[in-house]
Amino acid sequence: MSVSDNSGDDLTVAERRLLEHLELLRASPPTAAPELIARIVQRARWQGAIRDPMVFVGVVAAAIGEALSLLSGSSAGGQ
Amino acid sequence: MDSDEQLIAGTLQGELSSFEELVERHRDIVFRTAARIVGPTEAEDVTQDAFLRAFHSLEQYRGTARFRTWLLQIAQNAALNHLARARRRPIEPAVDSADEPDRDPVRQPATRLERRERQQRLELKLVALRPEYRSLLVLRDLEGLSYGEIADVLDMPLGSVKGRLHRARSELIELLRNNTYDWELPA
Repeated sequence: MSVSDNSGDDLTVAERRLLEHLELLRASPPTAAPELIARIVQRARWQGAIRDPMVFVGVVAAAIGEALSLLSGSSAGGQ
Repeated sequence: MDSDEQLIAGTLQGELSSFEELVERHRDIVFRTAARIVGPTEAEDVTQDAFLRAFHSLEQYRGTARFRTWLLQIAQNAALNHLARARRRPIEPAVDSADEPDRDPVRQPATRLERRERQQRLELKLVALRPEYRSLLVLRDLEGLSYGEIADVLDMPLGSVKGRLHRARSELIELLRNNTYDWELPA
C-alpha cells in the first residue's frame, strides 16, 4: 500500500499529529479473503453466460406486452 | 506483464483470465477502501459488486482516466449506495487482526493489545465521520492517492477536494481530542 505523501501540503501541527495516528491504520490494512477473486470471476462468468438469453427474454416479453396493449387498445376502441 | 489496457481489451474479447488478472491486480485497494467505508463484514460484498459492475460496463471505459481511478469511482459509489441502504445499521471497526502474527518479535503481548485497542478506537472515530469525509480521508491519508486522482474518483473540483479534506481532518481531530488520552499518545 502506498503511504500518503503530504510533504507538499501545508499541514497544521494538529494535522501532522493526525497523520501520525492514522499510521496505526495504514500499518494494519484490512485484507480480503483469498477466495474473493475466484468468487468474483465465477459470478462474472455466470452472469456473462445468462446475460444474452436474459436480454432476449426481456425483448420478447416487452414485445408481447406491447402487442397485448395494442390489442386491448384496439378492442376497447372498437366497442 | 500486460498493461491494464491490454487486460481490458482481452476481457472485452471474452477472455475471463484477463478479467481475473485485473481483479487480482486491483482487489486489495478496492477492498481496503470499501472496508474503511462500509466495514469489513460488508466490504467483500461491495468489492464483488464493484468488480461485477465494472465487468458489465467495461465497454464504457474510455481510457481518459486510469483504470484504477475508474474502478475506485465505481467502488466508491457502490460503498455509498450500500451505506444508504443500510443507514441505520452500525458499522463495525474495519480490521480484526488480533489473530494475525506480530511481525515485531520484541513487542510484548500487552503492548500489542494496547495497540489493537487504540486501533479499534481510531476506527470507531473514523466511521463516526460522515461518509463523504470518510471517503476523502481514506483515499488521501490511508491510500495515498493524489489530489487529482481523488478529484476524478469523487467527481469534484480539485479545490473542493482540498477544502473538504481539510474539514474532514478537522472533524476527525475534534473527535480524537474528545479522548485526550488517545490524542496525546505517540502513534
